[in-house]
Amino acid sequence: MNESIQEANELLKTALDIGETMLICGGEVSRVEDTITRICKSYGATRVNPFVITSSIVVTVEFHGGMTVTQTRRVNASATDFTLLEELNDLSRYICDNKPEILKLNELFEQRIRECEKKSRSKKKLLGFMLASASFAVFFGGNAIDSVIAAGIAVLIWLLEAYFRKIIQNQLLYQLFAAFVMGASAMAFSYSGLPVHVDKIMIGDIMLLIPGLAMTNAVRDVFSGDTISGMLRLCESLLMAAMIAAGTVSAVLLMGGRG
Amino acid sequence: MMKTYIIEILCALLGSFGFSLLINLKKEKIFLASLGGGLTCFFYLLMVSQSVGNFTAYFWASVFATLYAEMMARILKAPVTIFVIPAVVPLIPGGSLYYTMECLMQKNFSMVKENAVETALIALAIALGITGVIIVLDIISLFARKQKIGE
Repeated sequence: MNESIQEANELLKTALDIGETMLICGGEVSRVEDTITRICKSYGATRVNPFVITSSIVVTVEFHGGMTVTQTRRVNASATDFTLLEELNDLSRYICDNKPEILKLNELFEQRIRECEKKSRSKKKLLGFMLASASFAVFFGGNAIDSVIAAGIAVLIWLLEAYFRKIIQNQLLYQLFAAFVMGASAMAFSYSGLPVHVDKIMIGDIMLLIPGLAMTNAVRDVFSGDTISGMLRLCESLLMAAMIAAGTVSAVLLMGGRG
Repeated sequence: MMKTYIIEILCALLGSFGFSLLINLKKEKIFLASLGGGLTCFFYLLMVSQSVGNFTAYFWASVFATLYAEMMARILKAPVTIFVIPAVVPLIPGGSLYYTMECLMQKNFSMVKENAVETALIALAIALGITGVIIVLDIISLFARKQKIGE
């Protein structure tokens, strides 16, 4: 009995690891609950009760003979990474189909994570930042110079994200700070004498900061029945949008913009 | 006129491509995901040229984007979210959100109201489009399942 409890705990631990990482990568709540349930059931759990919100995971699993195991996780990170999300989706499918030994599960999980980390992620992200901001500056009516400047500021935002995110732990404060830096540097170009549209530059860079994923996931969560997490995500993303506005506005006002 | 449309669609395509890199999509999916953004923008402009209201245009464009994403996700056996984000990105009301802010700074309150209402309406239209598709697909799959059991 002791051994089987140990095994059950190990199984649940890995299931939670997978679920937690999926949540951090940008998976929807229902997907995380579904994954955890499937993994546990494929190893003979009679009942799985997962409760997932964006900031925590609670799971109780029942096995034959009345044995129950519960574990909790606090989740307070978010770093969108859809490659990892897909890999983990794949892994959970593999686990359900092949049922590898429970003691080997953790190794499988860590192997996948290592494979994903090998690929140079941050350069790709930098390129994405520059491309997205440059094209959206033009998309909203800017000219070529605007798009180049927007891309330049995107590099700055990327640097902030790479080095300052760890220092400023609070997401909202970080967002405020990033928006302020973005607004201030865009304003600086308005004094350069170049024929620039500061508004278009800022819009291009704001598109990078807007929590689009969180908002879409919020809508999806609410309508798949996960009201609490949906509301949490919605509140979070609205607050973030407010922070972006506050940061930009204060930068423009302080730099002597049209106030 | 035609030229601005083409530039806009191209920018949407490139912007979606940028976002696909940013959210670290897998290589083989990046092309189809960014194509979704370009097509959504094209579809939106098509709706606008039919001179339907702004809300309607955003609604149908977001319906199109979600349908595209669901289709791709089913074909490539990947989570739907992966394709929804790049497809919907060109619709995000970054412009009117910014102008709400700018008008607020200029204390031009009638324009603040106008821009704020537009931002909220666009966001609502996008949300409605996404959920509309999800609901319809849910109903269809429910019926499909029932039929399977009936057989």
